[in-house]
Amino acid sequence: MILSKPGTLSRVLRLPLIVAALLAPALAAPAFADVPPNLQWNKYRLPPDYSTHGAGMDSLYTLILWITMIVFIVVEVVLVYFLIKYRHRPGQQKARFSHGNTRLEMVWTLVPAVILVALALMTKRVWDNYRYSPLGDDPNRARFLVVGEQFKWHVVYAGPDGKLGKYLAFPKPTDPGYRTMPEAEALKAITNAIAPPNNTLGQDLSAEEAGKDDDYAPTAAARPIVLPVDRALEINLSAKDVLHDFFLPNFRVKLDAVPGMRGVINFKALPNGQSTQRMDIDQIPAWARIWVTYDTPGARLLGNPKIWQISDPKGTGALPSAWIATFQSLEDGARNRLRRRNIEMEAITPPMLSSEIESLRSDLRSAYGITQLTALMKPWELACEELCGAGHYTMRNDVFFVSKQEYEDFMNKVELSKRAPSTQPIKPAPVAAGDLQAASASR
Amino acid sequence: MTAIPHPSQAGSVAHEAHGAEHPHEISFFKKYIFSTDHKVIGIQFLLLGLTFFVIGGLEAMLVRWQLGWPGRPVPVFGAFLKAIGVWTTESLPDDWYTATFTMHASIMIFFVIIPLLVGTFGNYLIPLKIGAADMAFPFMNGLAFWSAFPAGTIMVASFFLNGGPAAAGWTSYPPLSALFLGHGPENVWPAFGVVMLYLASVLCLLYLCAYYVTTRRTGSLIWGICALAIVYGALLFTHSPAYVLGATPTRVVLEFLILCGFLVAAFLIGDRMSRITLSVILSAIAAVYIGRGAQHIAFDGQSAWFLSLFILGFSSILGAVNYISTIVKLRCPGMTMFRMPLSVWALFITSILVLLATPVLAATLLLNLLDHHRVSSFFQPYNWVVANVPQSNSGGGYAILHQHLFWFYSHPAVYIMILPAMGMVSDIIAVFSRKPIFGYRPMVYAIAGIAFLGFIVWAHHMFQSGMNPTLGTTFAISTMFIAVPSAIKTFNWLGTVWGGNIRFTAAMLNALAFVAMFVIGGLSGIFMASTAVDVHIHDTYFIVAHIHYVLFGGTMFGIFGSIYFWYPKMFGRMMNETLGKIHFILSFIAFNCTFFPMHILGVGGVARRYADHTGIASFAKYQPMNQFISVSAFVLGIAQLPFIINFIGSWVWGPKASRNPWEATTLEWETESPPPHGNFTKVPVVHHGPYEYSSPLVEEDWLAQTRFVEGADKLVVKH
Repeated sequence: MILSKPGTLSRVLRLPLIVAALLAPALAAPAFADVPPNLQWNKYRLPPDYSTHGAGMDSLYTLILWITMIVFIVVEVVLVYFLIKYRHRPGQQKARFSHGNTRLEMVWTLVPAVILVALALMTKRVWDNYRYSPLGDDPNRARFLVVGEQFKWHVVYAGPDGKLGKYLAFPKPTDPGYRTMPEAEALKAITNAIAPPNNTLGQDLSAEEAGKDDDYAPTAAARPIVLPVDRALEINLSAKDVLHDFFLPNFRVKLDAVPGMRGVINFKALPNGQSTQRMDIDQIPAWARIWVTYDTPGARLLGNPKIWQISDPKGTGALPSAWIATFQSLEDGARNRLRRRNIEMEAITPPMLSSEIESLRSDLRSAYGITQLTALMKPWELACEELCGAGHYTMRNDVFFVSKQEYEDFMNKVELSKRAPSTQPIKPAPVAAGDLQAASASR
Repeated sequence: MTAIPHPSQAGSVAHEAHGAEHPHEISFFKKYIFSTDHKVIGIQFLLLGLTFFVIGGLEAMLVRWQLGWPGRPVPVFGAFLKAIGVWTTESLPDDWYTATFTMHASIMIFFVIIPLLVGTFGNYLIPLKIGAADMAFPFMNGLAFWSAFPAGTIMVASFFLNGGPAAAGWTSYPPLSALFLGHGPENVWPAFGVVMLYLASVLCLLYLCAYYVTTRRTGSLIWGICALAIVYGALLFTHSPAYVLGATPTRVVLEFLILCGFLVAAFLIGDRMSRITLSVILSAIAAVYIGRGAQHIAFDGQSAWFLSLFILGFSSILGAVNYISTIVKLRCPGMTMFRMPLSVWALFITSILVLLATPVLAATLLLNLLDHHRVSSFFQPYNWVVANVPQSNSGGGYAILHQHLFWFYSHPAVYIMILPAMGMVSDIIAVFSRKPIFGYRPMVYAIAGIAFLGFIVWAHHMFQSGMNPTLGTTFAISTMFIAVPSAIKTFNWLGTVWGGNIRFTAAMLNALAFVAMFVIGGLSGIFMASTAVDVHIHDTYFIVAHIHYVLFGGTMFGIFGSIYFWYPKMFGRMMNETLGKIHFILSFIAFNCTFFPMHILGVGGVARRYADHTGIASFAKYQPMNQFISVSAFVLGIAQLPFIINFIGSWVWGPKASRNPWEATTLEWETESPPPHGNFTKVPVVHHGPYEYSSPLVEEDWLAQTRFVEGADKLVVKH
């Protein structure tokens, strides 16, 4: 064969080329100065799991990882070994003449088949435990509705009655109230009726009592989702416009939110997944957000969506200057205080900030005698994992797991703020031709 | 169309026909452009695929730039696009990011891998390897390329449409794909009309192609129709753009019918001149209509995407029909089914897959296109609201239905994209190991098994889509089973290498890389096959790693190997081995550095299709790894330069190739390089199987299929 005699160029260049190829990525790397020298890949593993059903998934994952790793290493080692051992040597005339080995082939057909069937059966058990979870029969489960919309998440908590109302029943131009209008006007009117602050999620108020006490905050899209640990949860999922995906990496929960469908996931978070932690005020790190509640000294309710706020007691008038509110960190509070002193955001330096955090701590202590606060030390994230448009990557939401008691208080110790979305069409504003086009564009 | 002769005399009849029909003065146009020669069409597909490979690769670089350093201005390119007003910033804007990865995937899958694998090698190798003079339907074969070409053009043209190209991912899931990203009124009927007229103009193009291979009666009536068409076109031309906006459904349908009528008339009656004239006029009318329509009507990138793939579907189906007929009917004497090389077997079974699956895709695309234009509501739910505006077509649809239909095509398509590579890699490994394939028949059965199972695993893409969980279990089990034939193939390749006399040519290195990388791609698939494990890794970078290990690590290395291997036959010149090895080593290392870390990202839960991972705390910590991946991706991009230099340079300066530079046994090496029109000067006769290397019956280490040796067909050695 021609190529058993490599050309001069090939022979001379072979070694330098291999070395150069091996070094190429390393040589290219310094050109990108912000690649840190230590990539710390060892810290990248399956994120810790805090759900009751996740252990099965993780052990299945580990099992498959071991099986595939062994197969991978064996196959690649054998391949490389064969390539070295059976390389062409000068003077060698022929290879071994063989058309196969039926018995050997039977072995490597049946062994994988058996292993894979076993994996499939194990998978079924774990999967059923997740999707047909016995927690779905728990009468005491807490119910939520989570609705995706470009590019934010809405959450509705079932009220004290524990039942959710009927949502996503949007009016149509053919509905009785709109039928008499010209189509463009009807569309404009419906848009008004379902845009914030009105009935954003299309709650059907006429139908049933169940939804009357739901904690439904049409103005507060993307508010943090608060869930109890150690209690069965029922997440009802849907979407307004396009597909979204509800993914809690640390709780092994993922399901698409599909417009026109309601997906249900039942799961339970382990107590060690709890975000809240009672801490000495000096111990609370600046980044940690604070769980300000009804029993925090000096807190007053800001209204839906259940935000409590600690304010300066010496503040005057109807708007005493706010220090810190639910879901704000000490750093947020300090920044707010600095900004109220007309300091530009860009002008805030780290030393300024840390001294302001210290003074916020001492103020809290001196004004209200607060020595301890509940910090959200484990903030979880909800990420959308199904492509939903250009802003897909911005579609995150905070998720906080609190203790059962904290959740009860969060739900029940607040009088629900009043809201009156109407089932009647809202009188349409005059329609400008351009508006409708702008509204009908997707974003 | 060429009649199909009896198999036993196929070669001779086809060859005589070729020899008699074509005296040697064929016009340049007919010889190289609208050719009916399978070899020219194969090379056309090759050039199409490689051109798109460059486009798709550059898009990948853009995507990696954004992911490694979100918001950093793109050098030169960004400034240029901002200056001409396409981008709003010098860095990649969010909407263009989604569009870029959508087009990267669409182009790589539909216009690189499928044309390269099925189009190029299917066309080039099938007739040569089975000893036929050409395809069963040479004209239809030309038509397959000339419908793939406009499809590609539309896909690229969509970059210039109002609102940019499609940006709903390569899967184009509704309802996202039903949104209009550009501005413009949602006027249903004119848009629909434009779509139809676009189809008509493509038909015009096809007709132009058809013109050069058929001749018919002359007629005088046609000139009258030409005159009518000119008047009609002038009317359209002089009207203001408002004409298009004011079009009523009846009018649009009428216009469409008139254009179709012209076409039919031209086809039935008319001579050469009149048909050229009419085709030009009709194309001009359609172009004007489209040009005006596209400015004012919501014919956006997404519509172009649907349309492009719809037309590409014709190409696939035409090709598949052809391959199947050719393999079944045109094998040369002695070439039984089980004496065919595995590449031909793979292409044969792939063609069956294409034939069964592609119509489903075509239907899906059409339904989606109609939904997109608010004509129907197959996939939109009853209460469909976008940006708080109820959509005019909302009602009764089911978004997941689209996913079922789409994956019913696209999962077999995954095998369409790997099976031919498996076949070709088997050929290459046997040649350079100088050994018969280990377990030839099990290899064939494995291909058939994968093809069959490929049709009953589609919903494993949808475990977390909200479909019935029990269905998930069903598909998990069938998916687990598909790993079995894949394992058989892998072990048989190992068996082939075992005891070999291995020559490490560029082709062989790439083929071995296929095996090594396919193992990784296959094994990572087991994670996803398990519904429970898939909960965590679905739609993360794990999936991205998996698909790239299969499609780049597997198929692209297979394609590179095949190009190195068959280049001497295609172009009559040898490629440079040194450049080939540089290309291979750089690609192999950079490929693994690029895609292996993605597994780790995926296990960490990092979502795919994010323009910026730094906004989510648990993803942001992976940013250094993302930067490493990006650097590796750029090296991978640069690593293709030696290949491009080698491909073009060898065409001009490469040493002349002999008939059989690799001392291979199969039929394509029996003829000249490149083969003459009609392929074989003498009809080959086959005496035994395709992989008789190192046979003890002959002195050389190869026994050509055409060489008769007593007892060679009976000699089966099992170890």
